[in-house]
Amino acid sequence: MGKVILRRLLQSIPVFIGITIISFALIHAVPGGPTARLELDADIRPEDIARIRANMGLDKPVWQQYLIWVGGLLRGDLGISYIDQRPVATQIRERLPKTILLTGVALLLSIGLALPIGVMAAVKQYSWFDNITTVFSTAGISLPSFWLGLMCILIFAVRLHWFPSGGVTTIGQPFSVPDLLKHLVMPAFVLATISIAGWSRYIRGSMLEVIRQDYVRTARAKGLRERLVIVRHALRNALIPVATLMGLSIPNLVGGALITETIFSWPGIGRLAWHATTKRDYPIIMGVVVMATAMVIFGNLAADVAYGILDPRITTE
Amino acid sequence: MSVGEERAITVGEPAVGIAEWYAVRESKGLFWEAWDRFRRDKLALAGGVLIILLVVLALGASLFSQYVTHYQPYEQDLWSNLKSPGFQKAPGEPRHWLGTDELGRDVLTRAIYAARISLGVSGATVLIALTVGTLMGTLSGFYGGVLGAVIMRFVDIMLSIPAFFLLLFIAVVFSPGVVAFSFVIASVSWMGVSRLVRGEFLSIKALDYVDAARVVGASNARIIFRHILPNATTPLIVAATLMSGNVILIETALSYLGMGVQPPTPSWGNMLTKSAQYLYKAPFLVFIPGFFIFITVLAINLMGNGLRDALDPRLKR
Repeated sequence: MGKVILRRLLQSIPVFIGITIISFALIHAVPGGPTARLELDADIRPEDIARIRANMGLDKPVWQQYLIWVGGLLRGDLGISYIDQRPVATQIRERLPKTILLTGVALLLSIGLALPIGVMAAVKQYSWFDNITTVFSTAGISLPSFWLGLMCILIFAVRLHWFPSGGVTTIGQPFSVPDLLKHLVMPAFVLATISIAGWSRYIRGSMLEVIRQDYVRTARAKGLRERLVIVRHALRNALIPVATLMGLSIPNLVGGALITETIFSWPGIGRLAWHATTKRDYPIIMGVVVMATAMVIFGNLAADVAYGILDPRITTE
Repeated sequence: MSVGEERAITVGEPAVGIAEWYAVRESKGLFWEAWDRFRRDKLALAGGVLIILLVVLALGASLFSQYVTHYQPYEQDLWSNLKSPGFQKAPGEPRHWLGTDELGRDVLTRAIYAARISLGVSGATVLIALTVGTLMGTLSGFYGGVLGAVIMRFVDIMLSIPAFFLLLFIAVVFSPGVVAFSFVIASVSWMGVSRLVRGEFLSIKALDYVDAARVVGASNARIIFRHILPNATTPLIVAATLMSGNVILIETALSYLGMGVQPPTPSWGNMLTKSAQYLYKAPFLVFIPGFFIFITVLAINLMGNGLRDALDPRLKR
């Protein structure tokens, strides 16, 4: 297993490099740039604009800029943001944990709720539970996430004053975990709801397929308790496609919360990347790309490993 | 012995039995059978009716604004801004049935015009994605070999790019207009269609009647168009319906972020952008556009589910 992981990691290095090259080229190829707004200003002298661009290193040919950036990357230096002159690595380090906290909690909530709901709906097919679940999940996947967030703020923050309407902590108060949790509830709930709606249907479908299989019938015929049949035989096999789904959701851990972060003023990576894209802040964009790519590669690897554990038929090559 | 045979043996009696037997057996055809099944699903029917209603309203938006609400979507009235639903400026003036927004524009009128935009973008996108996807899927599924493998590889690569980010990137950088926007969203949606079509081709190609057609000397084009594609339309219809719901969610999300349809052109998404700051003073402004999105997508999803169950009852649960 260890050898396989190592080989997969080595294989992903050229992919990683390729993605950085493509991203870098793409960012520099599109029109506009960090100085685009300055160039429209009639009062700035062209020499000053040229000087600013030279300071940013934008006067060199693109491939040279790329190599300079790679050199910095290998030394652990991701560059300096064009907008606020702060190191990219610092900004990412500040914001990434907050996003991971939010999306991680949402992911745990989603799995924790979608699994039992999906399984129960499959086991008790056509029952009232199943019908209600189907209705809620169809409604859930039709909800726009930004609307759900705004409605939650309206009801729970503005009208009921149960939860704060945004931010990570209450300004002016010392940091405390209950305070953080109170701020976390609504954004995590919004993120989780939509995932649960989608996943519970998928899990239900997968579970239903498995239950119809012959080996489940055999287990029942052998006289095993129903609970054992479900959990030890059916569930384990139904989880296989679910594991793929989870693996595909890992990249979402990083960027999937952009809208939620915007609505709840959550200082995360999604918002950072979006602002950087709007303002053409190349170093930050590249930094986020690097980090996101790393997470995707890691996520795929983790999913494959989990797949291999869950299904002994699959031998990792 | 079947009913027809019994009757036929009786001497002197007309073969009513056989005729009855055949009459009962005779299928009404795929469309009418499906329609019968669809009709029985109350929720799906409701969804379908709602969608038709919305399409009619959207198409007749200018008539609607002229004769029903008596307000134009871009008509501002800064003295009457942020008024609640049912507001009437003075006796004799037309009522604002859903209130006014921050610039005094009638919300109901804008919502209907926004329906036109959202449904239009959704329709156009689905059309484009269907066309491209079917083309790719047909080429890949029918001809197979190197071409098929290359196309599928391309599809896989496109699928591994996180769609939302690509969309956001393109929208930020190129600021597409409404029509170009449809192409952009279609460019990340066609892959699922092509996979579906290819799957259908692969499974149908193996069936006997395709071989029979070849033996008779049917050309490739005839086989594709008259034999395989008609059978592939069933899952395509369902996929297209569900896709249109998703496209509406995507378009409104991007418009909400300011990267889609630009104001003053109304879209349910951008009607929400400014309204978030008026959450205290005018909560209806946040509720109404989002509710429209929710209801529309819900209706589409319900109709899509109903279509899926109606067109192929084998798929049901």
